[in-house]
Amino acid sequence: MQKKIRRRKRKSEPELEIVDLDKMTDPVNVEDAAGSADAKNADEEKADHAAAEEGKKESKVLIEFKKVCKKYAQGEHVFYALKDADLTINEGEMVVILGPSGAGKSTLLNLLGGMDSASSGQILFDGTDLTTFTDNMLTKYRAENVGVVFQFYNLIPTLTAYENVALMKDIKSNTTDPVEALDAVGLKDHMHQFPSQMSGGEQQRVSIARAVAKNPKLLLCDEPTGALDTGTGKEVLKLLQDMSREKKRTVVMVTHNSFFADIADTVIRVKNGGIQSIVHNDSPKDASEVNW
Amino acid sequence: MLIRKMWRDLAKNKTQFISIFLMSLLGMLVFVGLDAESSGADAAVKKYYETYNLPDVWVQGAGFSDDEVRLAEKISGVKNVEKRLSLTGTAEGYDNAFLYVNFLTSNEIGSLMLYEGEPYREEEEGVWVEEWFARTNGIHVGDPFSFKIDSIRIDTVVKGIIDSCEYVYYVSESDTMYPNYQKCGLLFLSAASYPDPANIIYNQLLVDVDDSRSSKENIDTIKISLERSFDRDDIAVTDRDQNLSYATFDAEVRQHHAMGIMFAVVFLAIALLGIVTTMARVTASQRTQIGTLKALGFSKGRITLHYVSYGFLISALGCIAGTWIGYLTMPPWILGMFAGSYLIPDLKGKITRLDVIATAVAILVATLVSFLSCRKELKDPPAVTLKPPAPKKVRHSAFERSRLWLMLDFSTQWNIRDVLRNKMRSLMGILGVVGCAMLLICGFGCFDSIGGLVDKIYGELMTADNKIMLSAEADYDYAYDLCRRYQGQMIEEISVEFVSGTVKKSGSATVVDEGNYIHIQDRDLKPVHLNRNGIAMTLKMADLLGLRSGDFVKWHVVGDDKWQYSRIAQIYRDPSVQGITMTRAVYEQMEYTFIPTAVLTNRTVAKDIVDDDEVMTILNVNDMKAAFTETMEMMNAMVYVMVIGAVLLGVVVLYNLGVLSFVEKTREVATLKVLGFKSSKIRSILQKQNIWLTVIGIACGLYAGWAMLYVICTTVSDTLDMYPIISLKTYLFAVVGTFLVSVSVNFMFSGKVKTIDMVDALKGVE
Repeated sequence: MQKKIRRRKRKSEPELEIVDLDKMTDPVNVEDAAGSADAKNADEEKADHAAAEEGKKESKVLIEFKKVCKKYAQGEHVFYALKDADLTINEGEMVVILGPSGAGKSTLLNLLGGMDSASSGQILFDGTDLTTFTDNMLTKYRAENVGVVFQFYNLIPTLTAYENVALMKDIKSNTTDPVEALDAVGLKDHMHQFPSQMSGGEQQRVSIARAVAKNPKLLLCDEPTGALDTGTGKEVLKLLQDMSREKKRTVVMVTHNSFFADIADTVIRVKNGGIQSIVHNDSPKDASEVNW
Repeated sequence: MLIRKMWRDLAKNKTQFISIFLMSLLGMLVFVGLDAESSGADAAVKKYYETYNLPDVWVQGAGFSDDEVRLAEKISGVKNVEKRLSLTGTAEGYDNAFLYVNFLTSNEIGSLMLYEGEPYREEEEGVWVEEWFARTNGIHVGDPFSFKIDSIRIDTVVKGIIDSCEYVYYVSESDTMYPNYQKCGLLFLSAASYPDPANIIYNQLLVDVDDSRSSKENIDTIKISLERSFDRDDIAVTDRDQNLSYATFDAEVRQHHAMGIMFAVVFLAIALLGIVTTMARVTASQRTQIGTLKALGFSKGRITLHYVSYGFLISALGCIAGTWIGYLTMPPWILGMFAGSYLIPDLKGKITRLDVIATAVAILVATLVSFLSCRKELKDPPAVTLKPPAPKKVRHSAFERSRLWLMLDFSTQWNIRDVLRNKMRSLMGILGVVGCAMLLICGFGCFDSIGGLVDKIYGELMTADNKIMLSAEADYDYAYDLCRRYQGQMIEEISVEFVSGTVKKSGSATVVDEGNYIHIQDRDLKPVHLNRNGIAMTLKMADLLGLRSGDFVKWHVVGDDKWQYSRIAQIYRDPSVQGITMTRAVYEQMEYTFIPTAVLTNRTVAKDIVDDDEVMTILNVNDMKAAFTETMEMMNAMVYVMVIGAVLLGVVVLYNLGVLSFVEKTREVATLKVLGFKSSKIRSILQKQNIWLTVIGIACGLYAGWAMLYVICTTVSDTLDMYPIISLKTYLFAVVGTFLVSVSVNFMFSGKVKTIDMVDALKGVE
């Protein structure tokens, strides 16, 4: 197993170079961070670029991290939660971010979701740099583009399953009908129950329904099976994989469980605040085949 | 959906929100209640004055000729002048009630308001009787009515039952300052009913000023012009502010207003404190939810709005309900009590613009406060808010490092830390106790102070058991005989007017003959002897005139044209009568004749002397005491409001606090239980902290209560020189009462320690 990973890692080296090459388009992007037409141009350019350079992947780049740092100052001591992270996530991919506790994977997820701001570097989403966003723009970004599934579900306890999903209508116009969204996760019959009346797996499925009801470009999952038993966890995992495969959504999942690497299109390993490796998986396993 | 969330959150934290609701309701209820009452009373009386044309200026003198009236009418700004003869007398029957008798001319100024019978006509014979006096004595239109002025008896028939806007409040000359309208009546007759109509001498002029010229400055100018135009020394020109009826009611209304504001501030401050702590707790406990909402893409503004609407909704409901209930209940209640003291038609509450503004401001402040308290949770990015809050920075205080700390037992250490680390919560607890103790002290202190006042007036300053009031018939010899017979002391009590610079005040002068029934006390309430070489003035009067001991004051006896210019030889304090006191020798030195108006004695007085024409009435000290206390009813109403407020305040705040600290301590208590502490031990630990805070709160509350009482006593009125007295009983009651409220509320909560499920309580947080 260990050997395999190492080999794969070496294989992925060229991809990292591509990332570097992409930086060439930087000036264009930075200047027109807000102009969407230009951003689109840049996107196309970039896509062309990527296609020309690599040739094997047709999909478009959704997110790109460039030398992203997140640091916390505790008195005189400066602590890097993330240091010089470079990575690319393509549209429609299922990405698993792996790493032990404290490695920086949650920081990575928070930055992806616009829930925190980077200390330095660039985070390009559809070609726009998130690091230049104000609080309000980040809020809009989260509302429009990101769906989040939390480890502890984070449902509003005083709202029913239906209401938790319907809450999304308050912030976005073209949402999926809550009943439909709950039906998709198999909870149509339980939709008038409060979170406290549901099992963990059910709550997590409500949480997924809530996240996907927004039709987000990016679905972020923070240890979505962390509080669930294996059986229920598998169901949740299957659901997420379907979102990626059938609905062509970009799903990014953070976990410390290395078995999940098998179901991902791309596996990003994080250690000590840095990206350790980025590996593509040409034939990901089905979620139902994974065991842990 | 967020609105549904709000309703369910409100339901979940109902005790907290109900207490906020109650506090804002009570605050607005008292404020609007008293304001609507005082504004309504003010509006009613203003309308009354306007409709019946209350005189703007009164001129009193020995007699006025028609030429003088014409002269006065020519003064610029004067619209109309009317003559009147104003006397006092006694009724035949009706317990020899004291009467104010007015012989009128045209009655265009200060017109009578008719309840029953015929309206007043200038040439019509008969008497028009004041309504309250008529009602309580069963006098009806058409009844014969007889009364005596000096020795002249007048027999007449009741033509009408009326009220006069000049007399919304009056007391008999012998009475204290509190009215008894059954024993003191008001009569109006036309000059035609005067025994000798051809030779009637009018002693009063009523002056009506043009409406456009009725400002204070104009009135002052007109007063000076009037004084100049008459060019005699025996007249007194007074305006409305110097009119007893007008000024008394005006002061009463203003006092209620001030009280209303004071209460509202206390209650609303507590309500706001409640909102701060409750909203801070609600937002803190929903930290993860806030983080989630933010992560989902809700904007800061939306989330802020959501949480601010809690505070807004609750305070709006509370304030509006309070305003409404206050308006509906308080004015009828208090104005109902007014009815016995003030004779004003159509007294009813009135909502003013101030009430609306105050309600809006209270809601606004409550909303602002909830905005400020939830802002804390909203400032960080969602990634931070999603995580549990960073533990408080715990620093050891100097005390915790000292050697003494180590000698304390665990519960003391735990409680000290808990208090120091939850300063806001502890402060609120202390404030609740302070408010409770303060209002109790102040409320019962009012009773004490009035009681003290009565004991002082009729126990220290006037030590006679009986006061024989003499009529104008009594000459010196009669009084002297009476005095010899009962081993009494003669005194003369007269109305005087003081002038110092531009200030003019009415007061009374007491002239005392040899005897031992009248005593005076100095500034510090120590008994002193009356100065035998000059006049002594009361502290309150001296303050009003801006004078000190050694200064000169110009004064004259009302109805006498001789002005005196005297040096104030002494300052003394008197709670109820403001003016001057002097010995008979000093009085006679000023070339006045000493004509006693009362004889004081400790001997039992034969009842039948009342039948003498010279004797008006005999006042027993106990009757005087009872009358004085009874008529302080308004004060009693205030006291009830305060005591009820105190208990409510204590319970609501302490209950709120109890919920708050109990919820916050649930995990700690569960941990202690897991470690093996018995429930009873934990309860005693919790109660210990509560007792500390209560003791501190009571200590501060006692002082605050004294201060509040002091303010009330010193602002109560122009004629009352009250000082705060707080009896031991009151202290005891306040301390024990507050302590009981606090400890029992806490006991109720600490009882829940048993119900805490260790496993459940410790799970919860991730």
